[in-house]
Amino acid sequence: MALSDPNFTATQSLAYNNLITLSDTSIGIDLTLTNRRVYILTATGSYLVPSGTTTNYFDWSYANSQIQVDVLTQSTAPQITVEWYAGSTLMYTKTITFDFDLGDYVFMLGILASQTSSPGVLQDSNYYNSSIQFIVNLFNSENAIEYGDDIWSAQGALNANQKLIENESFYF
Amino acid sequence: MPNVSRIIELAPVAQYLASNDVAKGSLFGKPKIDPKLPITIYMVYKIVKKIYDLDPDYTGVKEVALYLYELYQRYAFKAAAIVDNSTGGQVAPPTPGGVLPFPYDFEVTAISTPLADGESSVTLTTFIGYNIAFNRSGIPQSTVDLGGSFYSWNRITGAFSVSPAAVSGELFQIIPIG
Repeated sequence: MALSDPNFTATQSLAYNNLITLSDTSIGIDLTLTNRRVYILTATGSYLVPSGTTTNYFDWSYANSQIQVDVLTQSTAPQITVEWYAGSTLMYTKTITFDFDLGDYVFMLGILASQTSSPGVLQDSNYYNSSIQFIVNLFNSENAIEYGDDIWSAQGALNANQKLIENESFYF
Repeated sequence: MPNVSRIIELAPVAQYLASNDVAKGSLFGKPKIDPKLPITIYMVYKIVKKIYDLDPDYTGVKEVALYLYELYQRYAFKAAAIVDNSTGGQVAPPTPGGVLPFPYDFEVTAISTPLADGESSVTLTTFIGYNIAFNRSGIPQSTVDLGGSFYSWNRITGAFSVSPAAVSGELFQIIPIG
């Protein structure tokens, strides 16, 4: 017996934007499997791992269908690779690109909530232009992943937003 | 006032209606609509929809959704007519012998429409002009308040409300009956 479709999903927590939850959605059964390895590769070539991990990957026990890890420090567009092992033998591999940009949405929701108490701020060209730029960057990052699997373009757009977030008092 | 899910549902249509108005203002003299309005509607809609789809109860979502509604309120009626597949303009009474609208038959969840968990009122524009029957988890409901559950329906305005509020897991059937 084997996995006919080794697969997984990765979702970002809305309440805690630094957390990612990985879920094994594979089809089929392989009783020889014992462990998984997860590689989260960023556009800069570095790997995201939980604090204290000394390797480029972290382990995900096959006994658990889900795992939650604290690896994000800002909106990130990574390439995630999951490897399924039977002991020390690599059996399956799956690689998917993702766009973890909920932190940007949460930030913008806060900006809009503040704006509703002073709607005249929309007339401030700096505020309006920064808001539009922010939305366009979100749009670009999502399109880069959805249509091109391009984590480099996506991360570039997210980094542009990160600059706006870190200098909020100037741009908004 | 429509609920948050309805506000989000109407926003994309309201956006292009606003775009049309901006274009008409440019073509035919002094613009009467803020030329930034369509983009502003989209900007707020994109943020609210993303977070609402993940967590309808997230702090700030309802307030920003109400702000979104204020932005496009002048287009809300026409947007509703387009979204609900009517011909737009004035709502006409149904033609006798005409085809009834599809009923609403759904399980209440955190994001179900037209009513979600905790919600108790909504405007059902497609049922305006009709009488309705309402079943709740298989039990026919009455419009008479005898201390238990009941509902109210205004066939002129489309205002529909239930008491108590909708609870996740319930089966709601709202059926137009002519």
